[in-house]
Amino acid sequence: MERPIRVTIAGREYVLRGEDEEQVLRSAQEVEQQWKLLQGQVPEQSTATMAILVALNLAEQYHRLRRQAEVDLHYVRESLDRMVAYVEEQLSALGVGVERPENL
Amino acid sequence: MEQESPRELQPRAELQAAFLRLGQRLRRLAEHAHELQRRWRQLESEHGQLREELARLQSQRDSLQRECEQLHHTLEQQTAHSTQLEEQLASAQAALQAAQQELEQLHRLRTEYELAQQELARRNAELYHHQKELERCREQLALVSPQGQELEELRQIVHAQGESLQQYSEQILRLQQENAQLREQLRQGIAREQAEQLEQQLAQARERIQQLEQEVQMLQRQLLRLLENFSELPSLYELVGQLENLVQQLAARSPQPVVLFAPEEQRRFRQRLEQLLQRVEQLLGNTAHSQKA
Repeated sequence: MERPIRVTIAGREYVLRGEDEEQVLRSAQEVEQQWKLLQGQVPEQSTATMAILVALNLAEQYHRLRRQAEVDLHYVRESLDRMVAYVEEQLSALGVGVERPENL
Repeated sequence: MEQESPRELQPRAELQAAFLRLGQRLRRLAEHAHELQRRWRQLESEHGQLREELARLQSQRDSLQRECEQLHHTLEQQTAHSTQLEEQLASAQAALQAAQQELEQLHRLRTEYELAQQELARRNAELYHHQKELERCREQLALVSPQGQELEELRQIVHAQGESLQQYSEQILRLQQENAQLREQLRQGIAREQAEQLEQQLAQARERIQQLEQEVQMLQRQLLRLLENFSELPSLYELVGQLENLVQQLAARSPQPVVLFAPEEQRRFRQRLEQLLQRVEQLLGNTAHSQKA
């Protein structure tokens, strides 16, 4: 039974529902920080415009992190491939045969 | 808003540092694995050498064990052989001792044989002389044979004296018996020391009696020999002299004087013998004259 989660964003209180309360509170805190950051940079904007700008900043941040994750994953895969090759080479030099796992 | 190109993005530094450490650790692991492999191969080589050495030592042990068993078997055989040799040695020593005893006996027998040969040679020489003497006596007997009657009388007289000697011997035997009885009586009736002393005296007396008895027996044998060989006496003078010697010996050795011939008979016997001798010499002289004629 999900219980209601009370958060405050841009001076207005919202009652939300979610499975992970901590995740909900951290996301609301992130939105509140972006709101305050834009309010200091572009004052005198309407609430709707500020909401759109906060959404755009969060989306940009999401894409940047997603891209970084892809680069990291690619780097991890390449590094693991080199390590596996190096290990296979050393095992071959040692005369020890090892079957490669299916997930590599 | 920031616009970043995907090409400008680099893996995060902490991720690169982590992978760098991971790679370094992986290389160290590889080097350690190679070191372990070298060590493993070295240990394998040493293990192989040790196994070969172990196999060689086991082979040597088996060989030594077989050799030891063989030596043990040989030792048992040698021990049995030694025991057999000891038994043979003991038997040979006993045989050697017996042979030595027999050799000593042989030496004694050889000495006795040499002495017997010497005695035989001596007796042969005596026999030769006796034979010569016998021939000479026979020749003289042939000359004095006509006087056979007087000689027969003389033989009877000598035989009578031999009987008196036999009586004398019987008297000695009776004395021995009496001595034995007295010794038994003394043994029963007197103390031990006196008995021993008397026994010694009796022993001395018995020895003396035995000597006398032997001498009497010797004289008897001589007298009997004279009687048997009376016909072969070399001369009547010698016969008279031997009879006188016999009488003197008996008189000297007898505890009591023994008179073979009474003095008158002795003088008469001597006169008759002298007459007989003169007649024999006369006959011999007549015979010699007749042969010359």
